[in-house]
Amino acid sequence: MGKSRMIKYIIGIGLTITFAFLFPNLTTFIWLTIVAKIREAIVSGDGGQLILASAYTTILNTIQNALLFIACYLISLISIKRFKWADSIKMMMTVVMFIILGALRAWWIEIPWELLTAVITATVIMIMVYFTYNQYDSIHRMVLVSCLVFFAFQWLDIMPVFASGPFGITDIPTSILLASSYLDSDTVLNFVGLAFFVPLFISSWIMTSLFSSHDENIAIEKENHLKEIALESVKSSAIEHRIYQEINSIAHDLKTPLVTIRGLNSLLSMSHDPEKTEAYTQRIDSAVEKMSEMISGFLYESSKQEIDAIELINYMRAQIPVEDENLKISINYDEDLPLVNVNKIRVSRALLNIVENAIGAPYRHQLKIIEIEVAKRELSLAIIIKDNGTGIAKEDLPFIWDPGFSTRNTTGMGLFFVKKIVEDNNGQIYIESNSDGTSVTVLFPGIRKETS
Amino acid sequence: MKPIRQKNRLKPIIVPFITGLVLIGMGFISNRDFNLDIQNMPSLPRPIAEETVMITAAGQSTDAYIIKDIANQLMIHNYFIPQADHLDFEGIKTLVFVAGNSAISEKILDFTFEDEKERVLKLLKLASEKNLKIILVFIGGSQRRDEETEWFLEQIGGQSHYIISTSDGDRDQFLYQMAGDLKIPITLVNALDDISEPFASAFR
Repeated sequence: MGKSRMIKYIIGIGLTITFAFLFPNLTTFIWLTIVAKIREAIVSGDGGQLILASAYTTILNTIQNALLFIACYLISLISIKRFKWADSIKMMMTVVMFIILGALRAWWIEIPWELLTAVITATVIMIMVYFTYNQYDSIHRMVLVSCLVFFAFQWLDIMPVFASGPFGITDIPTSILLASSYLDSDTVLNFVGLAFFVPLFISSWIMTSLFSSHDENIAIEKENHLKEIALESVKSSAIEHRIYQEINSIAHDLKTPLVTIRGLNSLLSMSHDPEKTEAYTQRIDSAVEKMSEMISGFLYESSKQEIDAIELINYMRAQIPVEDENLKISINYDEDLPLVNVNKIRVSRALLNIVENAIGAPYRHQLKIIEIEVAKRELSLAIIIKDNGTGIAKEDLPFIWDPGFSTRNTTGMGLFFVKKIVEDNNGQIYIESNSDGTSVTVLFPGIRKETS
Repeated sequence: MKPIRQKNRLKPIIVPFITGLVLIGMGFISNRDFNLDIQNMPSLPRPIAEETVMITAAGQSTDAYIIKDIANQLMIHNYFIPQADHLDFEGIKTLVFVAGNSAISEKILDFTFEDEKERVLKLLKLASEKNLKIILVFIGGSQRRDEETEWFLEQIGGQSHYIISTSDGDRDQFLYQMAGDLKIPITLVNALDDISEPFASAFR
C-alpha cells in the first residue's frame, strides 16, 4: 500500500471512529423526539406514532453501528495489506474489533447497545461477502452492503415476535414493544418490521451476488483483452514474416535484369561496332528501367501504371515455379481486353499468391489442373483462377481473408495480403469453392484502349 | 489483479437460508409461554388506597405513561408527574411508582442515576412521613431488569403497600419473595392488558 493511500485510510478510520463515538451524543434531540413519539402513541392510542418512533430508532441505530463497523473494516484492511492475512481472518478480526469497540462505546458514553443484533448483523455481512466471493478490499461495496444489512437487521429489534428473545432488549426498543403491547399494535409492528427486513435483506444479498458476477465478468474481459493482445502480437509477427518473404522474392526478381546488365556489359567491353554498342546500351537502359519499375512498385503502394492484361499475366506467369510433372497450368485470354491501372509488381505478386495457393491445395486427382482465365466483364478485367482440388470447407470460407487464418499450418497471411493488394488497386476479389475445386475471381476496373 | 475464488453455486443460498432458520427459531423460543405458577392475588379483596393519586416514574422510562393512561381510563383522579418532588405532594393520598430505568432518558433529560436515586429516596421518606400509601408497578418485563431498575424495585418494593408486576418481569421471583417476606400483597399479571383490574382494586 502506498504512503498516500495509507494516510487516506488512517484519516478515514479516524473520522469514522470519531463520528461513531460522537454520533449518539450528536443525535440526542432525535432520541428525545423518539421518546416523545412513544409517549404520544401511548396517550393518543395512535399506533402510527409508534411506527415512526421505530423507524427513527432503526435509522439511528443503523448509522451508529454501520459507522463503527466501517471503521473496524478499514482497520482490518490496513492490517491485511500489511500482514497478508487470509480473507476469513480479516473478516473475523473485523467482527471481533466491532464487538470490542461497540462495548467500549456503550460503556464510555453510557448508551445502550443491542449487542446481539449488532454481532449477528456484522457476522451475516461477513458471511455474505465471503460466500458470494466478493473482494474484501472493495470499500464502496462493503459500505453499501453494511448499511443495507444493518438497516434490515435493526428492524428485528422492534418486532414484538422477538420480544423477550435476544432482540430489542435495550431501552427504546423495550419502550416501543411495551407500548405496542399496550396499544394492541403487535401485529402491525411485526408486519412493518418484516416488510422492511425481508426485502432489505434479500436485496443486500442480491447486491453482493451482483457485485461478485461483475467481478467475474471483469476478470473474463481482462483475460480476453490479454488474449487479444497476444493474438495481435502473433499477427504482427506474421505480417513481418510476410514482408520479409516479399522482400526475398523481389530481391530474387531483381537478379534477372542484373544478370542481363552484367552480360551486356561484358559484350559491350568486347564490342567495337558502334551499332551493336548502341543496341547493348539500349538494352542495358531497358533492364535498368525494369529494375527501377520493380523497386518503385515494391516501395510505393500508389505507384500504378496503365498496363495491358496480357503483360500483367505474363509477368506473373514468369514467376510461377513449374517443377511438378503432375501440374498443368493453362491460361486463356479473351479478345479485346481492357487496360488496367494497377501496381504491376504488387498485383502480380497477389495473383502469383493465388496461383501458389492453388498449387499447394490438396488434390484427389493425380493431375493438378489450374486454369487461368483472363476475360472482359463489362468494363472490367476479370482474372479467374480455378483449380480441381478438394475445395475449402464451407465453414472456413467466411474466415479465409482474416489475418492468421490457415488450414494448412501456414502463417495465414497470404490471402489477407492478396485481398489488401487487390482492394488497394481498386479491385474486388471473390472466392467460390466446393468439392470439385476452388475458383478465385479478381476484378479490376478497365480503362478503354485509345484507338488511333 | 486478485484471483477470483472458485464458485460453488449452492453456497450463496446457504446464507439467507440459515439466517431465516435462526430467526424463525429465535422467534419461536422467544414466544414460549413463561407464565409462572405463582399463588398471588388476582386483585385486592378490598381497597387499600385513596384518591388523589400521584403517578411518578422511578427511572424515567416511558412505562409510566402506560400506567397514567390506565389510571385515566379507570377514572382514578391522578396527577402524573414523572419527575415529581416534595413540592408536588399537596392533596396527594397515594403515591404510585412505575419502576423502570431508562438510560436514554437520563441522557436526554440530563440527569444521572444518582440524582434519580436521591429523588426517589426523598419521595419515599416524605410519603412515609405523610402516611401515604405506596404502590409499586413494574411492567417492563425481563428486558428492564437491569441493575438500576433492581435498585428501584428493592427500595420502593420494601416500603410499598401493594406491588403489581407482569409475571415475565419477576421470573426470578424477586418481587414475589420480597412481598412474601414483608407480607405485602402482590399481583403478578400475565399480560399488560390484565393490569387494569388489580390497579383499580387498590382504590375501589
